[in-house]
Amino acid sequence: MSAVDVPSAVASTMTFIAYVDDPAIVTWMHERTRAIVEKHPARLVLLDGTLDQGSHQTHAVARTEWVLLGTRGLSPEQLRSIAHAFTRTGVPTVLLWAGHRILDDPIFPALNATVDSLILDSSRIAPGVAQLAELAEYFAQEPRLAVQDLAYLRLTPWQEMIAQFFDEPEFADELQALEHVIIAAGSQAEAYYLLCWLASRLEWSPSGAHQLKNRQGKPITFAFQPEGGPRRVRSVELRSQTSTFRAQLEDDDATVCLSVDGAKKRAMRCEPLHDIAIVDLLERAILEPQTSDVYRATVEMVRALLAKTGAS
Amino acid sequence: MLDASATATARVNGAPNPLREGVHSDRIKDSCSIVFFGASGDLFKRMLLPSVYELRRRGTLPTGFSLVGFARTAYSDDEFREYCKKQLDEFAYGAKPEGSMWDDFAKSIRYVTADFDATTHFTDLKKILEQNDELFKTGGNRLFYLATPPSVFPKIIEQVAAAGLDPSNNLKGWTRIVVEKPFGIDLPSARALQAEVEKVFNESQVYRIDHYLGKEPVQDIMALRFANVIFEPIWNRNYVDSVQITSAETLGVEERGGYYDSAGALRDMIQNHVMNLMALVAMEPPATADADAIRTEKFKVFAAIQPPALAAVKSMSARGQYDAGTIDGTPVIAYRKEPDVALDSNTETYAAVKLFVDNWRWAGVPFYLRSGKRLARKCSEIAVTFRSIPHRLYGEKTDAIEPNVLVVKIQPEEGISLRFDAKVPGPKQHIRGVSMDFNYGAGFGVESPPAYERLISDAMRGDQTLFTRWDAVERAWEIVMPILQTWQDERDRTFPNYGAGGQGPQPARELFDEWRSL
Repeated sequence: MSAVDVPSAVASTMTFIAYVDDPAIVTWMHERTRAIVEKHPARLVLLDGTLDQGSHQTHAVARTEWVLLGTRGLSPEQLRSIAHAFTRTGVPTVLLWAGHRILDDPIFPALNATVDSLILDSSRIAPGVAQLAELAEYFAQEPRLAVQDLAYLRLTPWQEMIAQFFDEPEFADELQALEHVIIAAGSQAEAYYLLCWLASRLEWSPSGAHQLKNRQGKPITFAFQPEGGPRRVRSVELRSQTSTFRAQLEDDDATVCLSVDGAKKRAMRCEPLHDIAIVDLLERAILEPQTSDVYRATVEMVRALLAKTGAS
Repeated sequence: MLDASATATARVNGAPNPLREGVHSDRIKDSCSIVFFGASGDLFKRMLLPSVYELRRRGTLPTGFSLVGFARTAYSDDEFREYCKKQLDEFAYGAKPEGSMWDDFAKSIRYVTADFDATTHFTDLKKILEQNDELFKTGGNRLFYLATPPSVFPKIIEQVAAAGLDPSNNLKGWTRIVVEKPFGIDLPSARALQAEVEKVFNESQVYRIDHYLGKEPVQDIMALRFANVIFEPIWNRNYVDSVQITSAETLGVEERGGYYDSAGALRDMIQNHVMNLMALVAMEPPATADADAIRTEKFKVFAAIQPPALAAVKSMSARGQYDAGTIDGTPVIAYRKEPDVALDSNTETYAAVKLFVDNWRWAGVPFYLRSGKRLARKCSEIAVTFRSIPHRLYGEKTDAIEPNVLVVKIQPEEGISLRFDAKVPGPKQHIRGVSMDFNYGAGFGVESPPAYERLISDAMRGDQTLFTRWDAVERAWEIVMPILQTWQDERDRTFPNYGAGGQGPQPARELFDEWRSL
């Protein structure tokens, strides 16, 4: 492939490489990635596996530039080489991976080798946990991988709201006495992530297909209810012997109402479900590229739990 | 610097909540009640209420929260909630108030119909705040916000103490007070107000607001200076020729004629906004990023500025008042024809001053400050002009080799530009000036949140960085007082002396003939 003449941008914060091989989301990818580079001046290299090799477009506007390359038919090594040729020096390189597979796609490790950090969305392709399972496996092989999974970042407001329940000193003990978790969500990846985040924070461990045990060895059961649109959590319910903590998404899809029932009942209050738009998530993934220890522990828990449940 | 209570985790007893670790949250940790004195006024409905509601909508407000309105207009709690909803319908800049979010927020709104002279109404407020601690778990924390005309500030502070609402009587939580600008109208009045404030509050509890400092680009100045290594080595008298700071508006006095005619550009802009920008440019790197370290360095700049001697005022300053003219193709009236402005007003709508920072870093470098209304272009910026090259090697004889200029653009554009000289390609040695621009607003595509949103949340968090400390306020008044005094005592018979839509008055060009074009 011949070099593509790309005008210099006025300012640049990164090289943003996006790979897509699914015709169903090509337009979606174009729009979202361009929205990102409109916000963060960058060189966007969009590697489109649905277009034949040799086809390309380049654009440069006042503060950013983007390159679209058809890559169907190229070998992983060719792709790596092209991606590298377009990488700006002196700024980080970020890969947004929207390929179907991780483990069995040789393009993934080839591209991943050229970048500083990786972003993917393990609940994008299907409501199941196939891609999350692959990510967890890959993560086990590459523990130093700097990765941000949008499916996990999407849960931040839910994590914050669940944490809120237990900010009150009166509920501190309840946290250690939880017995049952019910998560209603439109995709399994988010449900697994939320459960495994909770489990890793509270030092639970998987003990069966639908069961964990806490530090004292007491059983904790969990249930996932398929409900609502893909990639959206509808509700989380945590039960102890004396209390039920419930966070429920309202019909407006923008507000979550929190309630505590039981011995220490609390009045319902509502919180905004904010920062879950895809561009917001991508932006966070770019600005905070380091993989946190909390996330690492969560992914390890996902791997351990999936090994027990055999879900895919 | 965060005060001790604000650094406490959400749990006051026992181990920290393990679910909090690693969870990103902008939520303010300390629960609190915020009391708006003057809650039926314009500032509350246009700026403060929309800012608080947006903080709620973004999930920034603490879990335990209550908004208490305190004003003369008679409302019940429900009527005030309705009033707030109506104002938000008109002035909210995020989503409008509706659904569960609004219902939940509305529940936390309370109101006290009040006469500021009646201590009993402040006692009623105390009861409501105590109820809030139970109802909304506000933890005894109280933020008082003075959104009334400044003339009422001392009375409110006195009544707060009389009702036992002062910090020394609050054993459960913290008590803070936000004081709106202007903090006094001159040095004696500022000192008198401070005397009232410090009878009740210590400095760590006082948040003197200057909304200008809450603007994102103003905060960018420190990041530019102290997050980059390339500027600091040349940021001194050896390389800098002069600094000019501009705050120019195309607007006139709008509906503020009455206030403005008793204030003028020097009081309204230079003494606070523009001098604060100057401090950010001239300050030494603080030892830490905490509020007191930063505010100490800012104060040191003011301490190093000598107020002009009365005899030197004319050579160190210039004033102007706009006449009729044309802005953006639209004819506009003269200042003296504006509503509530005296027909023979001596008030300046344009002020320019030349100041020197007498310290090791800046000795001999003039800082030119200007601010005016009805000028050619809306523009706030800081331009640092560097010295000329010591010896000319390049350029054809006709080429002007201009000095480098670094411009920090504050509004309407937000960014940085650097002017430098480059060789024009070709066999000749032509040198041409070029400007390299970076625009924050466009560059990061992010609309800065309104300044009040940032400042209210900072006050709730106990972060005083963006609020002005008393020593700096006092020193800024000391610096401008000789000019104020002279301008007050000597009528300017040339007024009006600049046409609306122009570059400003002739005396400003006599003060400095290299103002950047507006």
